[in-house]
Amino acid sequence: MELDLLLFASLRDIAGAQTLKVDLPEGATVSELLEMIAQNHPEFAPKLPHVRVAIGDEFAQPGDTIPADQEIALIPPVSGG
Amino acid sequence: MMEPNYEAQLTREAIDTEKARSWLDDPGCGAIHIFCGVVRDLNRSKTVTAIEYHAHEPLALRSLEKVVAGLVDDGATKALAIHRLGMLKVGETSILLGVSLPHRKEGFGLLERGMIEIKSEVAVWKHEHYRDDAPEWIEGS
Repeated sequence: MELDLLLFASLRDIAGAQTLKVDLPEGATVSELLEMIAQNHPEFAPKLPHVRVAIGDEFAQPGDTIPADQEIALIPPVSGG
Repeated sequence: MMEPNYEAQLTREAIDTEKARSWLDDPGCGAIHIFCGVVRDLNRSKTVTAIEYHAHEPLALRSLEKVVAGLVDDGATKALAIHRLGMLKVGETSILLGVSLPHRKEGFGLLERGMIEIKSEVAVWKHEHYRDDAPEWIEGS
């Protein structure tokens, strides 16, 4: 399945875009998504150990399955307040 | 129907502290605690001119709601969080967190805990603008 991952903060600067297109097998997990990004988009690799994944409006766990029908976002360490 | 006793907002308008205080009013509360985070003019030895706040809005709002709901669960009569987004100048309020309670003592701890949670869990990022350098993303650790 093809997904447009939402990017934020420094990840947008690295990509030069607000989204990153990825092609994942059905049933892939959050961990597998991050591994795939590290392999296919090595420019993100230094950031990935600190990146969380959000599915819709919730943070996901490493073993969660990536759904095809919700927004998926890569969340670098936050700095609000 | 009872009014909700917690509220979370993301806004691009200036945060109205008096309006927030009124929302926190409760006849059973003798203490209203309000913390305002404000854009300051110096960070990591660089002169800051403005900070642009970006968010993953649905995720940030959901996390902010969880923070204030948790403060009510742990003793606040009411809890309110408002995070500003967009470009803010030095001196403008970026975050307001408030709680009301019958007595003051627990309120200080609740505000501090709430701010720690906001700074680690709410999907908002600062893009700092400097007088002498190119803008930089600030990311937590």
